[in-house]
Amino acid sequence: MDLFWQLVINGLSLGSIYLILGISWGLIFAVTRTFHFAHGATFVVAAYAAYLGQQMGGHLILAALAGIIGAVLFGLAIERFLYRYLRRAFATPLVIFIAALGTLITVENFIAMGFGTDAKPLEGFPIKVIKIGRVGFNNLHVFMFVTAAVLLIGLIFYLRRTKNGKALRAVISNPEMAEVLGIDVQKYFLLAFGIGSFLIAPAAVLVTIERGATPDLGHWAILYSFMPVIIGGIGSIPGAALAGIIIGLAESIGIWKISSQWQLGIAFVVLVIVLIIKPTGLFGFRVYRGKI
Amino acid sequence: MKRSISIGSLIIIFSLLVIYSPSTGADPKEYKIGAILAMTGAGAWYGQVMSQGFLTALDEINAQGGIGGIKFKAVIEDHQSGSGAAAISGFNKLVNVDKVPFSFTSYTAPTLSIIPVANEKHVLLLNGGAVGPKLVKASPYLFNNRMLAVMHGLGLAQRAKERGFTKMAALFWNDDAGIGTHKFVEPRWKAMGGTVVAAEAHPIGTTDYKPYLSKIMAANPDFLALWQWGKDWGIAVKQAREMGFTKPIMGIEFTPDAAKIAGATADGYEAVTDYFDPKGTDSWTQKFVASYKAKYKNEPEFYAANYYEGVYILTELIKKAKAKGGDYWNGKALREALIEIKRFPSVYGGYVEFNPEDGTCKKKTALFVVKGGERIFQKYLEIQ
Repeated sequence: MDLFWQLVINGLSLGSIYLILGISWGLIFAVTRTFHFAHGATFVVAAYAAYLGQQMGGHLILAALAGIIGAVLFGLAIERFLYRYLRRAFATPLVIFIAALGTLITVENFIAMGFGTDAKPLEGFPIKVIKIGRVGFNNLHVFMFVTAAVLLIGLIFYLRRTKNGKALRAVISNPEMAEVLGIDVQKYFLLAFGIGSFLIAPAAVLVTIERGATPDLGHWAILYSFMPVIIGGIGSIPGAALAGIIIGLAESIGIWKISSQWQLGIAFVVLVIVLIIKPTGLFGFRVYRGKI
Repeated sequence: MKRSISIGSLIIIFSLLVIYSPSTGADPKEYKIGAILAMTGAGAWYGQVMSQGFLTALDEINAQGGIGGIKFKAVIEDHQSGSGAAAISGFNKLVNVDKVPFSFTSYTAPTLSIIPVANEKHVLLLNGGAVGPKLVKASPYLFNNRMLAVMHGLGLAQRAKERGFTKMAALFWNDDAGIGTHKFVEPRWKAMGGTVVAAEAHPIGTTDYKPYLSKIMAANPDFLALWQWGKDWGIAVKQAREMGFTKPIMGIEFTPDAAKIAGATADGYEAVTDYFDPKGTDSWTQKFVASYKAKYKNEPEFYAANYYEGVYILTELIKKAKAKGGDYWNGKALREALIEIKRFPSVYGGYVEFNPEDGTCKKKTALFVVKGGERIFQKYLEIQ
């Protein structure tokens, strides 16, 4: 039974990261309907900006701040100078998707050229091991869970209680109608990219503290960014959050009786099962109504 | 009539001379060699340091005018961190387009996949990185100038027994090298009176070890054995300690970048591995380290050292093959030279001695313990 509870704890910390990835990508996709594959590049940029910040003598908190700033600037730049340009040129969603994929690969390669391919860890987090019987975890895992909860609650609050948040929900619900009502849709596209990129940065920093940053993390990040959104239901922030936790738990508990090496496959099994039972995702019906 | 007879005689005599005179063997314009390395993908770090190692040696030799005035040229192909298909494609190019008679190789799976072509085209292969058990006796054209993992694994088992452990948990790469090492060590460990309470295989380059470590911790072993290489052991050790795993961790790899990742959590980690000490007193070691540092601003580790050493082994082969006369710039002649020489100076200090029967070698192997990010030499091991 020790193993089961160990796997639950692992699943919650892993799921917390998936939750952050899911809500950050989910917001961007819900608002702009852009399959933002370059979100993985934003993750890598945040990780390396934080690493660079620390190498320049910054404290871990300043390094994390550098990561957030780097991610937001990168996300805004991608929307402003790439996607907006492509939309104005009447590019098809496939063309935009390919451009985003190309951006991810390019960024990963440039980072590999500049920083090398070995893992770059962020130092300075005072790790404290917590043991309950033979179940072990640490304060970083707790911090991941708390961070994810704070970001989720903050985002939901922002979308429901603020003027800009309500405008974003209007764009999610019906962009054409929102435009007719005088909402500057392009401005809110940019805002969605800014918030989405802001949200992904803490996940990048936490993963870098735990495992170190590598250029190929972008592919991992984008995979676990859109999977919770599809499972949770496109347009539903709570759905993406719940799906992130479900994937984390399923991946972790799934290896209880089977070999650990099949962990990634478990996430896809969950994806396929959900899509077969409910093709619109767990909270998919809300997409049409555009509720958050 | 007389004149035509004498001309005919001259033609016959000249033809006979051409046919029966021993060939002097034409020198190539340059000694073009190949390398199949992990230049991209999760293991790109290996490709980087390995290529830096042999390029350092090539630059040194070329700066002195090459071998008898003939300079080296290297063509590097990418196996994308373990892809057999990419390795075959790159190797075919090296053999058919670049016409190389010698190639460096790395990683077990790509090396095994290019062997049929190497056998057919008689290309001598020198591996200084891969450690998989399947490389033993894999081809008459494959030689390994690093000790293979199975020998290091056996050394680790001997050390674990010496420390009085019985319950082993193993965490290893899910490839020929990792699985092969585990399969080789497991029965021998059991024969020593030990048991294996957990065996977890993971993909190369894994960055989240929590699932594997969870199972290992639940099995309550006496120690954890790592059949991993590169940076992976550093991440695994760090995450194990940060999950509260307090039992000893032993492995068959030490690399400075992994130690940097692990930080203080690596303290006490024991490694049985090739003994290349960049701070060693051997004059050749010092010359190599100085040359490498000047070029790449980093201290070399043993991967770079193996490939650097490989170029100097090749240099000896070329000299030996050329001295024998005939066409010498081909894999057959180079292989024969290697079998004849067998024992070469090693940049580790001492010698590297090849076993022509199975392509393996003997080199300095030692037990280290990590403290403060540095590996501290404990003793040389005589692996039985």
